[in-house]
Amino acid sequence: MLKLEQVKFEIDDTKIIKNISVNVQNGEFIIIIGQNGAGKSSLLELIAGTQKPSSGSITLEGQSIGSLALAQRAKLMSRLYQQPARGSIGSMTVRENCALALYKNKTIGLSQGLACLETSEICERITKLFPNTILDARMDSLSGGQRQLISFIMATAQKDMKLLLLDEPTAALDFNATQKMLDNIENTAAQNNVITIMVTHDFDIATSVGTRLWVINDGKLEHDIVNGIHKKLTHQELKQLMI
Amino acid sequence: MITLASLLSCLELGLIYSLVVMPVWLSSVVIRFYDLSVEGSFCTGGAVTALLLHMQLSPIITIPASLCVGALIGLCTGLLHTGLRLNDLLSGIIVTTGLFSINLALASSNKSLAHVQTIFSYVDSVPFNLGSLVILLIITAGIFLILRQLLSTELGFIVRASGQNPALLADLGKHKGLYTTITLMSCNASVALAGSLFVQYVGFFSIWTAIGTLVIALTGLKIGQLVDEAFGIHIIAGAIAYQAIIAITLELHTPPEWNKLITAILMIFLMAISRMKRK
Repeated sequence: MLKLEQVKFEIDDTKIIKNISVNVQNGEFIIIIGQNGAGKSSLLELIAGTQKPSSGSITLEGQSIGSLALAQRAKLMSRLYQQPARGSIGSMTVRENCALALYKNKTIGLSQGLACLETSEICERITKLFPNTILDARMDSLSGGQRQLISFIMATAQKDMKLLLLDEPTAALDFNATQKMLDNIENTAAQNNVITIMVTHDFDIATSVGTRLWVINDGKLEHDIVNGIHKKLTHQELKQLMI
Repeated sequence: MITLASLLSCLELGLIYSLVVMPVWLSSVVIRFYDLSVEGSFCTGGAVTALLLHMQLSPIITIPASLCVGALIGLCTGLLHTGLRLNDLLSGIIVTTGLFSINLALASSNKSLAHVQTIFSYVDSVPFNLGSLVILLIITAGIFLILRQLLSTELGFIVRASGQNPALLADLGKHKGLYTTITLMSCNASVALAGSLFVQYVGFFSIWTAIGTLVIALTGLKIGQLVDEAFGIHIIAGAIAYQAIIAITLELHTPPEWNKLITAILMIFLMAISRMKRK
């Protein structure tokens, strides 16, 4: 369970997040929407533990996220960013990137870098979506959509993670790549009982996926719509909620 | 007229400097850290070697000794960068400045190695003076193969990732600073070994020897990168080609004091070519 209790976040006396308290159960898929500067990305950074709240607490499975060491935090959560280049290494091949993704909970040694792939299904997941030859292609030779989808597979390679944070993962993708990405996100969210939190600006996406919708306005959690009711909202109604 | 002896000499010096060019590739291209402590570790490798040889110790000892001293220098640079969060240039400058005094204390400003046994003394009797070349080929090939092998290990993958996408490294739960420091230790170990071999090769230690080492290495690296940006034998070839260019200018009776200017102009020329290639 993810628990935010009276979370406040300020930078130079500017209140970015204003007193948010909310609980999230395992398996929930939360969509965050809000206007630019509303505090969506800051909230995601706080949940990720890369920023510490000015006051209040954020716990995941009873552990305070801010006090976790880097390796412990990485074990509990994965992230995917807006820019496809952010989630992988451009100069390395897809296969090498897959190996990197498997080093998450591993002590790094002098074994062959690709050896860990033998006992993993990560390459299979990729070849289900793309031709086999993609595994030996350099990451920076792929399209943004291909790269983002592979970054998502890398981010979700770890089976025992508890939290998946997605910061506008489809913003740089075309329609087909967006659909493919959303299908993969929904399948992963449904199968692995992880808490998935996705920030988006896209109303179509906001009303088509997820089990819960948070509307952030001026640093506050203005609306928390549960049980997938947000999927019934029209764009106009969604716009109204954001004002 | 270029003689066989001068060709042999630039090949040998090129091999010695390739032990600087390879780590400079690793630090500047892979982890994107412009490590100025290279100048200090080259000199310290030489100073430690001069000291040990004057203590009548076996020249074989100079190899592990210079490697260890170099690794220690890399550790200092890494700790300044990761611990005190100094930027790469400042960390290197501070370490190199401090090492100047240490090198003076170890070996004074000049020390001749003419009357002591060096690692090359073992091969004095090899015909056509090829003994030094054989030793340098073995050492360079060894470092090249170790480095190539390391880059294909888990550690190598993480090091390669650390320079390009530190955010991804953090998402994997790995500390960039740790891998930067490990890389700097390996790099400076190789550079100090180069310094050790250099003073044994020329038979003389001078506190001023190392000035411009980084630029020499970067120029050799840029020549090598005209072939390919990735790690490969062309990096060693680049170091040798640089020495050949300097040898040619000497054959043309250019006074040696102009060497630095020639290097600077060559560097500008290579940077321009590399920029044009990217376009």
